[in-house]
Amino acid sequence: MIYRFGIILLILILLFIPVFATPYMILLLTELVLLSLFSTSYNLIFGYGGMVSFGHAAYFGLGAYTLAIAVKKYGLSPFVGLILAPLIGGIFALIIGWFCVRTVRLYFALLTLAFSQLFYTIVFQWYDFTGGSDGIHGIVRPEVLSPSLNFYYFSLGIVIICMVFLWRIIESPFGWSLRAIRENVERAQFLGINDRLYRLIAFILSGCFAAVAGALYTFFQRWASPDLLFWTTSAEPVLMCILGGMFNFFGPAVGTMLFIFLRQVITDYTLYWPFVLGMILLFLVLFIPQGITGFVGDILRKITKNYSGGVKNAS
Amino acid sequence: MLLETRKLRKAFGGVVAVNDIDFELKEGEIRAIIGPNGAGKTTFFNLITGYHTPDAGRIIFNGVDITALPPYRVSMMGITRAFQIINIFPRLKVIESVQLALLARRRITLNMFSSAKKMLVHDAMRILEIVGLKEYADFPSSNLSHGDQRILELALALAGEGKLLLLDEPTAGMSPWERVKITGLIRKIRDEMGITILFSEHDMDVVFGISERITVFHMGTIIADGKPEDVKGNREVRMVYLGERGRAGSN
Amino acid sequence: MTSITWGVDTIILLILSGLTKASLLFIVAAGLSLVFGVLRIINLAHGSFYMIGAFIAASIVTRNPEGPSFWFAIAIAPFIVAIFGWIIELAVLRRIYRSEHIVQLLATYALILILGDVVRMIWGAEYISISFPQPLTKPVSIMDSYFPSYNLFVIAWAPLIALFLWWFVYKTGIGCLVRAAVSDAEMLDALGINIQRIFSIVFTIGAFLAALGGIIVSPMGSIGLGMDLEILIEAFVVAVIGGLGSFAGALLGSVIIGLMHSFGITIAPRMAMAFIFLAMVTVLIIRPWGIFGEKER
Repeated sequence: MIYRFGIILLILILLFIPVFATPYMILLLTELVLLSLFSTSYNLIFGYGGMVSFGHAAYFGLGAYTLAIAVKKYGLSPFVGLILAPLIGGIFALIIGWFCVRTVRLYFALLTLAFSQLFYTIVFQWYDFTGGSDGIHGIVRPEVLSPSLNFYYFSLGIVIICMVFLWRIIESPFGWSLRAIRENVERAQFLGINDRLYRLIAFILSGCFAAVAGALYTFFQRWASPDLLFWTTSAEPVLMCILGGMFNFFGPAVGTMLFIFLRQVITDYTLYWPFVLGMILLFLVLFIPQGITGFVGDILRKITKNYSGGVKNAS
Repeated sequence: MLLETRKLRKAFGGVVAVNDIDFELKEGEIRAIIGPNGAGKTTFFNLITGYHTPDAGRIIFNGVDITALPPYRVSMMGITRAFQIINIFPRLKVIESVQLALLARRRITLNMFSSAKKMLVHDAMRILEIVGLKEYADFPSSNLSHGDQRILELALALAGEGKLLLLDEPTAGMSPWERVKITGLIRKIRDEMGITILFSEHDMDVVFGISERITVFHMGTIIADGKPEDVKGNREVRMVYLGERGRAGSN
Repeated sequence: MTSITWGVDTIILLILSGLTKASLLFIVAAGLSLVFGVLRIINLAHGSFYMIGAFIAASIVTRNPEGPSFWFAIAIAPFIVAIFGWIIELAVLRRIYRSEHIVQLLATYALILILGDVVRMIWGAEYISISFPQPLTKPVSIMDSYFPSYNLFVIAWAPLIALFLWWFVYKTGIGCLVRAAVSDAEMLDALGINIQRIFSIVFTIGAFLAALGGIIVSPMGSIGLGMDLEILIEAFVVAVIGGLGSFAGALLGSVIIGLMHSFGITIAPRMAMAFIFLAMVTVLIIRPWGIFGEKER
């Protein structure tokens, strides 16, 4: 249907756009693709799981540093780093998640925030191992991946594979259970779903994919810095999910795209990008909480009236 | 004996909601629990389903002691419940909710690889057909009318494939016609699916209409238990009810 | 481990500097807690008010470095920011009282972005330094060492603010309404009392306190962008540990963190901050509502 067509179109665009793009645009596209993975991984727990985490940057950053340290400190191949990243991300997500899924709502958000700040501080201070506030620089890309174009396709490939995995997870019985937990925890429990376990699993998976995104990002940028773990980095996927719509698989990616697009356009005109971003966010949060895809979806529904199930039963 | 409680007790703060209750329920019964508000009916149900832990006493279901089990374990043991407050999944479609309930029952919910959309559709539709919601399969649950949401509640409970179904005031807030629908449905569920039904109710017409036995709660204890005609004639029950406002049973 | 000589005077100095930090933290955290306790909103932009207060004070002082500008600033600037806070409450916060926490967090985060950039627009990205104000420029001698007299002034503020808050909440009519609003805002509303005005007043006081903190801290270090995030995180840690919504908690929490900070930086400088966050994590795991807080719901 329209959906499938749209996805194929999107993939085709992503595959062929570099032909027309400037080198700078290719860099932007790479960033777009990687951050889309980051925000989609976040949406697994946010939009689908109903868990508001303010510490997702921790896994992104841990993945990034895993690759950086593996390459610079231990001389391993970056591909090994890429494989290690989700493992490390997953382990930390397991530990942190184990504590976090026991809490609710506000305290969940605060605890995820506290953990990520804790890790930020450790990374920031542990000069000998992580390079401290300087970060780790000079990560060399293998020759075949040196040109931006090649790296773009490499990232795109990995991200598409990850997205397919995420898609399958979300559309699986597990994904449905997660949604049920989001909608009504009690009822899900009564169905026999152990909500803590499922939340934890979602948390771990989400952390793994975020770590992959982080590792690729560092591979891309050739450096890792503690900022990747700072709480303002955690705010970005939240923003992108809200911007694009959190109840839709592609919402976060759309949000990322819009975010980057806006950032580019606006920083061309003014220095005050945070101001504009803040205004847009405020506007969205106050007036369009369902995000762009939700909003567009609503409009499309009203136009096509194709929506089966819109009529309230009058019995 | 399908369900038994022995000296079941639960207090909240200083208030004893359930006071040393001995209760027995045979398989295949349609049993009503009645009593004024605050008599302990809801707490009793909550204890059985594991939502609360009793202060004392035991709950035995199908020969197994389920006293301290958490809700999701209790439901796995075969007790399902439809709630008084509408407790559905608003954004999930009707069919999706039922499918999910079935998936949960069959313990497939940890599956992360198959596409859930195509799973157990036939069984889900069968349940929707029994309860009469087949046409609304693709509606988001929040779009249904109040009465139909209650029926969806019931469908979810049925998907639990339990032996015992607990219903919290199944006809609360329903129109007379909806009430007829539900009571017919309750009987149909027991007759066609062999599920034992234990429900709490305030509407005496419904209670005397379909229940085969009635247990009367008052201030945390059982003051009467027996066939409908016996309960109707019971003096204590009449005192409790005639002294109350609201839908007192007719003579 | 740095080699320091552990005399009694070192310890006293560390305690005093810990209390200095504690006092600052208390002023800011009390405001944050107050707003959360009454309005049930976590105002992430609390740090922004702090920063704005600091910048306004810096402007006033740099305009007229001689003379009592600082005292003028401390008398006027908190009120300016308080009014500004009132406007924000009107324009933004009012719409999100009944929203989910995530909406409130995002909206106030948006405010951080906006206000932070407004500061950048007005004052630029440079750091500003101002010196200790007139009678407090010389250090006092404690045993064999010296301690800035200004810091003693800072320490004095905490009991002052604590007293003020105690008086306000327990001894004034409005305070009584505030306490009632904390336990049951809807009931008050039903009684015909203007909840809206109570909320506005409380939020304004919160902004006032944040700005006051910013002004007090301004001679102590350099004033620059990023102050908002720094203090926000620290005030957060304090408020969470002490208990969101509790003044006693804010007081206790700020003393704990202040001392942890001053001793930590001296004993194990690289791990000090990590320990502070570890404390926050621990509290959130063991007793999420903090030492003096109350369970939500």
